[in-house]
Amino acid sequence: MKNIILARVDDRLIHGQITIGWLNKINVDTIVIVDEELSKNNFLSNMTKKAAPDKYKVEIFNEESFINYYRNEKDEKLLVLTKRPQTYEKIQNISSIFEEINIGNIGSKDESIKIYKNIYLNPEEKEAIKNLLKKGCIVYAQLLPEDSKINFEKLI
Amino acid sequence: MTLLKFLLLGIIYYIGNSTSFTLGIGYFTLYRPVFSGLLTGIILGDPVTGFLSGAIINIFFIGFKSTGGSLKGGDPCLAGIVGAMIAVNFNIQGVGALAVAYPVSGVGILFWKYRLNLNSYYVKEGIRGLKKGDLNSINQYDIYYPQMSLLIFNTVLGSLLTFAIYKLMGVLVNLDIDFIKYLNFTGIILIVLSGAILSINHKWKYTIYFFTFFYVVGIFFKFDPYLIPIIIALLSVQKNRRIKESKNKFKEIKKQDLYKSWFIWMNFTHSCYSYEKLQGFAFAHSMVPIFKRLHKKNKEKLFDSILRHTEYFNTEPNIGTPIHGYIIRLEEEGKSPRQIKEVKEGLMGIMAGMGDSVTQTVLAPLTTMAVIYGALTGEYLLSVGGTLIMAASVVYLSLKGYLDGYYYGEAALEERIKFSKNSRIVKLFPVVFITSISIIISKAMLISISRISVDNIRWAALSLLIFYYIFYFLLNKKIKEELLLISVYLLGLVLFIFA
Repeated sequence: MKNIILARVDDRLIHGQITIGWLNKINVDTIVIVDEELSKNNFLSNMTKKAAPDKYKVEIFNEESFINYYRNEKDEKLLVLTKRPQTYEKIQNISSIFEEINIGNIGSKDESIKIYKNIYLNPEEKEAIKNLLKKGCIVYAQLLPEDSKINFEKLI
Repeated sequence: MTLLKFLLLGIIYYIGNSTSFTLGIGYFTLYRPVFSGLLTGIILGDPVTGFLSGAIINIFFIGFKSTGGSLKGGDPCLAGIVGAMIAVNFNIQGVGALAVAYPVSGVGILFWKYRLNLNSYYVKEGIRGLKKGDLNSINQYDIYYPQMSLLIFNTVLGSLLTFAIYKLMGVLVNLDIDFIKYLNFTGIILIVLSGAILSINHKWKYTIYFFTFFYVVGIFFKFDPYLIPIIIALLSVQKNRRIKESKNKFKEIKKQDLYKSWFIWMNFTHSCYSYEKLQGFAFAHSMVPIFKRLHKKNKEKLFDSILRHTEYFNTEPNIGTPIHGYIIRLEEEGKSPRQIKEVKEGLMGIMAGMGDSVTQTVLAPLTTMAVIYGALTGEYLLSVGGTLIMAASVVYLSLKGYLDGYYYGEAALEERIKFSKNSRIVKLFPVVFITSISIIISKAMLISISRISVDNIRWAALSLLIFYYIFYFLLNKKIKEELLLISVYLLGLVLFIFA
């Protein structure tokens, strides 16, 4: 059985807030990154794996292969990271795997609007979060474990 | 105290908080209480007291880290200034000053949010200027306006705060009760609590035994203060591996362009730090000398390229510099903007996660501990040494990263990962850290207790271990740090009444 300890959207994936913020507070053994582009890029996925703290296994998938991986029997405690909320939306459309999704950092791009501190959403990202909420997912903003959770129902 | 002195304290607050114009070294030095305390002491005419109280306050802030635009707890720089100011003026010792400075430093964090929002506005204006073809606008909006605003704001805030605390303390110390004694008790327990928090954060199997053992050793034995840094230095010696690949053969970009780019980056990574772009605007700024060389005849391309790099970016500023070198190389090779964007976005997180766990987590605490230890024991050469090692590491790592990233490309990035993950000092850090901090805390406790009238200083210091165990136990049971911090202020009151 896979146990999802934290599922987060963070456009910098495994960065300082993860390595020295979250990983010291939560008990996981595997970091799973779901990102189509990254899974295709050998150099970057190699670097991502090498740079991650040694204690953790790092897996990089696209949406479909993640679902297959999730369904296998092996016991693992997961930290799931994606760059965009759309990734979770895509997965949830196939199978309701996630109950709670943490939104960490989404930087500004063209057409992005500021939602909260480090979170800027463009229309597609906003739509994806709305759909996740509609499906009964709890979506909340929380940068670091010490911060309080802020529900997205209030933010958008 | 004259008004001019309050004004100068406000300016110190700006210098420490800005971290600009210091080649990236300011964040690891001037921003820390031991340094802001020293500067405050110098201005108030008592550098020794300022330095010592700053050092004791810094023990409490030794685990301070800020990652990706998040700032928690208190503003270390402000704590050092406020603490040293009251230590010098009211003859309060470091621990008592800490008891006042810690809650006050929370004010600094409140304004962090507004700084990042104001900078969002400057970035927008700067980008608008670039779009109009005004290259000077990047200087104006990355350096001049944000730094001027910060100078004015922090000077006013710092001066007003220190003035208000000065007046308040003036009233409190003249009360019938011995307020200073209460502060000292509270401060002593605050330091013990920080020992427990640090032990929990660097927990391994024997943490509590190590802490106990070296705390006791620190209390009952005198030994050469140079011993610890020598051991740490031996542990951190590392073979400097050569990258085996051959250098790239491009001709256009000169070494001096790389130096210029590095110089801009290191001085202004956080000058116009905003929620919207984080270090994005600084990255674009650092690319100006590069594109001036590459596109010197094509003005349109020059501006297009700079604007392309204003996008959202954030990494560890010193360890992450191979990214810059590598991006410069890709730009020179004429790779497509899409490819470059993908590499940049992919690498920034990787380098940030790894870099933060080296510089902020290992390097800064180790060298700062040397500075603190020097201040506590009066061996100031130790403090100078710690500062120099920190400064040299920042300059060396960042510049080497820049050049290697450019000349060796992907190999340099891989090398940096190996360097960061395999260095002995990073692996041994929890042990080295707990050993050093327990000795430092024991010395700080001896100094603090010696100025309170108790029968036996050493036994009093030893009895504090009981509080350490209680805090350790509670933290282990997931009791919140904030709750314990508040309860320390009540505990200080209880001790004060019974003493």
